[in-house]
Amino acid sequence: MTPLNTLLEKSAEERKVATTAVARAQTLPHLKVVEISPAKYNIRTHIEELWEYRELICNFVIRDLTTRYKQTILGVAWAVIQPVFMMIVFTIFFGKFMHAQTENCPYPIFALAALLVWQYISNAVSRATNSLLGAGGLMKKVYFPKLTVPIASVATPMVDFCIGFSLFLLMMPFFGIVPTARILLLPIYFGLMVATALGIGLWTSALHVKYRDIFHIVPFLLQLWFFASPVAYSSTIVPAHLQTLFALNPLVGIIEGTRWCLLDTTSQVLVPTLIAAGIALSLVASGFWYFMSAEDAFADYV
Amino acid sequence: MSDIVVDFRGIGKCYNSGERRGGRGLLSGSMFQAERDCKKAASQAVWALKNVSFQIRDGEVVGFIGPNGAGKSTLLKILARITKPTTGVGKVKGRVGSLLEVGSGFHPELTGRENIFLNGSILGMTRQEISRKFDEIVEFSGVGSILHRPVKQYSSGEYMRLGFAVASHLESEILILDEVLAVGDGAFKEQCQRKIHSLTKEGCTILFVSHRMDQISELCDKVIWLDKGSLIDFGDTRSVIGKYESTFAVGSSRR
Repeated sequence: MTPLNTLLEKSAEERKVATTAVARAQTLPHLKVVEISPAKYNIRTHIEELWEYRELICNFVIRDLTTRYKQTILGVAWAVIQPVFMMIVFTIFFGKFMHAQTENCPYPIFALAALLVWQYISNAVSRATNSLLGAGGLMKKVYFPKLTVPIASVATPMVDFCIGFSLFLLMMPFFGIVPTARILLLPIYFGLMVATALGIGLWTSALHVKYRDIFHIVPFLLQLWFFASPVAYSSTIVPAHLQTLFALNPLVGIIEGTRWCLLDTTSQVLVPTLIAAGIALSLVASGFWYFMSAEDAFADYV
Repeated sequence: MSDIVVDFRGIGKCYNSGERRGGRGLLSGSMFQAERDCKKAASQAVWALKNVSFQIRDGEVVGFIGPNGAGKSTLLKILARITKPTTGVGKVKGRVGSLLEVGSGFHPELTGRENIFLNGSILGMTRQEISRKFDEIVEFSGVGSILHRPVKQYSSGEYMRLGFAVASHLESEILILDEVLAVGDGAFKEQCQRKIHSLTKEGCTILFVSHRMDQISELCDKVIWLDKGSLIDFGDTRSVIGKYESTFAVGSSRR
């Protein structure tokens, strides 16, 4: 490099430094002041922060999606392989051998509607449960709103769900099912599905940081929950006097409601839907409350 | 005064021994007991910081010195909002960038490029801001030719350079450096020093932890001396380092 070049480069660098310095001096009086104290943040601060860090949530989702299918041969196909194979096995055993009641729907599609919902719930809850501990190294190094972590892990399986659901829509004509106007109500059930997963995920992720028992409890509870939900069977098999008790499981309302929208089933869905909505909302509200009360100690516990 | 960017008053941090060990079982204490434990079992409680107060002005480069376990890292973690103090109040003006450990937000499976965006957003940069600085970050890191490869294939040096490049290009008003210069080869160290010098010229406030007194005296305007969680001295670099070294010399000659 010639001396002239060096000189030019140096002065360019100095000029840049000088302009940055001026820009900095001008912005200083307008900077945000952050208060540091033992007090907890209020809900408004949390919401503002989530909005400020919305790109981080997206980046967490993108990270999880890109890393999940790296070094796999089948790639994104894994999103549909699981529910489709479960559907096939269920159809053979529950549909053909056990003649499960399906309110006159072809069994495969009757089961698949519920399997997609179940797969989402189960993936979202187990991802969220382990999410905070997974981000533990990060929490010890840099400040960011902790809520972004479980929210991102509940958002990621939505992609699998959407792929699976597109497959479902493609399969409908093969079973001679034409969607009615009821399909317009489907977003309500998807919303309740996400809310339920988020509510539970907030609880389990925060509890998992302090109590490692959660790691052993959650997979076990998910398995019990699966059998207590009308995935392989129709909720019509439950005796009439136990229906309300059965519907306390929010998945009853969500799954039967999804079937009602897509498959024109005739069972009563209003009461289970209202119960599911109540439970989902209280899970989200209490989940946020517990998460916020526990999050200050996360960095000290992981 | 308007140009004070860090104002700490009576900051203290208490860890109880259970907390430090990390998560516990459900049976080893009732669910909401943990918070109360700290106050109850005073014998188990460890005060990592006790009643620390100081003020830092805009553009100052402040060094943090003290033996291991003095509370330097805890203090900077409170400043960076990674953990909350048990007592006291503080005000921090502007964005705090921390280089407590560079590259900690990297995901090994992602490429260098993907990690720049991920790490940038963890540090609080917007996508637009990262795109604008992308070329500069790549140039600074010197890993442009392998940017398409997953960072798990990087050497630890390359990994660190990329991490430092992202973190130091965050437009933060306050930058925390925790012994980052202790690692890396000569050329990288020199590059870091140059970057820090240009950041100070831009008026960035820098908080710097190091055990090397030569680095501290070269870079810092002021020094905070901590020992066993208490603030021993805060003042001009030369005078504090002088006292620190004489205490250290006396201490070692006694042994």
